[in-house]
Amino acid sequence: MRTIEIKPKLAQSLLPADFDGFIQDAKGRTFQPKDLRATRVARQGGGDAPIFDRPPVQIPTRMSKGGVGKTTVVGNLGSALAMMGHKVLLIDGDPQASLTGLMGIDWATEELTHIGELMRRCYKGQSVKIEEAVKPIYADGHLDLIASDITLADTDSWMMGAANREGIYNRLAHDCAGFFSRYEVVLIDTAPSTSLLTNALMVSSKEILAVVMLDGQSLKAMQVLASNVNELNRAFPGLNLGVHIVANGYHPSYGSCKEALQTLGSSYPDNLNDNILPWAASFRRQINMIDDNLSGTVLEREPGTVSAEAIINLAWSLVDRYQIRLAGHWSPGGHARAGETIGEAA
Amino acid sequence: MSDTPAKPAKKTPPKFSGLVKDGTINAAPESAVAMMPPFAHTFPTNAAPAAPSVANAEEGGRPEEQAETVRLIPINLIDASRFQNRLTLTEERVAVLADNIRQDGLNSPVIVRTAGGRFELVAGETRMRACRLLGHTEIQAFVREMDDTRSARSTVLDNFFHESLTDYEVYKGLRTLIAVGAATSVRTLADITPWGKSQVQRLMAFERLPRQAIEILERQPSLIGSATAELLAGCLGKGIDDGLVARAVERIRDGKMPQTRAAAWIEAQATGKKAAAGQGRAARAVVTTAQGSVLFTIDRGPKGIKIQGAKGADIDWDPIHEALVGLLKSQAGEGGG
Repeated sequence: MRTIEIKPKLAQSLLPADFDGFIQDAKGRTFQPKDLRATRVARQGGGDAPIFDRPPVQIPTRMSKGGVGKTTVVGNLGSALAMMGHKVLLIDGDPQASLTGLMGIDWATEELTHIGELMRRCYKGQSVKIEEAVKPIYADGHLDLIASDITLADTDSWMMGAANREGIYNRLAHDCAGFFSRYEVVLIDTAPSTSLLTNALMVSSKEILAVVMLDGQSLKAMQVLASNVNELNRAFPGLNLGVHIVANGYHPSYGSCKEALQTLGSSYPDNLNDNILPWAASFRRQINMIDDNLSGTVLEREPGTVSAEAIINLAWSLVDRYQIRLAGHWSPGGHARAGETIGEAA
Repeated sequence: MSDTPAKPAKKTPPKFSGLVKDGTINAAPESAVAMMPPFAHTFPTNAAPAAPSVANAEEGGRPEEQAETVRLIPINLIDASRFQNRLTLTEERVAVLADNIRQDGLNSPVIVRTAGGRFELVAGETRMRACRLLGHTEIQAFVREMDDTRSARSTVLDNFFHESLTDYEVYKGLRTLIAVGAATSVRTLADITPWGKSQVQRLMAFERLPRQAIEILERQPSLIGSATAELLAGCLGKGIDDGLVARAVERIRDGKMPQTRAAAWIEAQATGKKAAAGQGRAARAVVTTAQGSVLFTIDRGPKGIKIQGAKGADIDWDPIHEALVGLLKSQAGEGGG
């Protein structure tokens, strides 16, 4: 479990706009996710509950190419949404287990039950025991993880013969509704390969989150993603699976990044999220090979950076787009803030 | 991070939000866009204007499912569609199509319906204008008997599936579909258009914008997107009056702020915190040399002023620093601090 101490400046950007001035009252204090949640719940009224009466928003992150930043996006969005006060479940759906590693779980030494195993139990009618598979990352259920390891790669072998195999994850979510209803949002990291497991995770949502690195190779990979999505839509009339695109790795002085962003913006004007993630060293410092204590998401480690700001902006826009609730409440554009910070005089 | 006190002035952080919408990033060339695959949300099999089924054909089906003949119709007998939701048809687009038609001929006939001895266009405005541009006096057309509902549906849905419309134009189309009874709810709109329920809901936010804002959008449909419309409509819900929202749209039109800042601006106006939003984008002054090259840029933000020397400029900072400190000291003295 990680200790999260949010300083007032970060807390301000994690709160909706009507909390302006919060930073002045909070000087010198630090907050945990549960404190910010309590503050928001007190402001919006209606109280809080350990279990919500509607299922969580599911956001599968997807790209048919590796190294585009899916895990970084999932991990950091998880951090951001949890720090904003939401109850977040992360699911590592990639046998590479990078998200598991980013969350500080050593899959080589720790006992773990991955999502494929939970789906198998559900499909076979066995007792699922999903609670036991959960690794708490932040306290108070704000950020939990269903971890993964290399054996997740075997999942396709039994799914091959399963009936309605694309629906098995949804069935798990349905059968374990009591568990899933503890969360307001579920972020799913998937493997780049187009597999049965990945398909099953993708159809958990009306809209997958496609992470695209701003380079030609990633744009090319959109072809594979499009055929994957279009095949699913063709196979399941009424699914209408949509795609929301997050562009990653933007650098203002790289011409190729700009071109790639232009192409994305012009090709998918309705699908592209206009909060772009920067090409930044902070993302590359998330894992420290020597000292595990120095590993962590950008938001945990370097909250003052432009990368952290970009992640927070992205998180707010997704709260809007996917209607992620906080204790049952959601209102559009709640985060719109006045003014932009610009460099202050030295 | 900030433990070294004698750091040089912080750089203005680069921007990573709103790059596309505010136009920092230009449109890509069409050749690049053409390379990108489409994501098909809805397939014709589950869209309402269903493909003709076998059963229908055996029963004789509806008129347009029978073998249809193409007629040559004088262009000057064709009136524009009353249900056209597209506001921007550029001459450039027409010219490109005209070029194609000159080389390959008209590949697909336009669709018209009869209306009081004349014809009314149902689908094919671009094709018709391109033919007119080429000096043609007649055009190949399918003539169909259609009531208002079917005609509006064909025009609007044809646009939806073939055109890159602005959000406002899409909204106009959706409204037409409701007005003629082709759809009755957000759900039915989502069924027959390429947009999902939440997007339809977002697009319908234009409905709630004040009249002045709509008048502006009629002339500049690309001014704001549905996300902004939704935020603005949300402001109205929070008890902010029409005038302020209309002013925000005017400011966007006048280039005083990008649409992404509209909601923040309104909020700031409503709560009286002008400083943060109004000057957020910073009053910027530039000092140039006698030859006109930039020497200093001075940015004013809500919390301070930043003076930056131009790259490569040979600036002696010491006297400037000294003078500034002097000025600030005297200010502090006056303030009684």
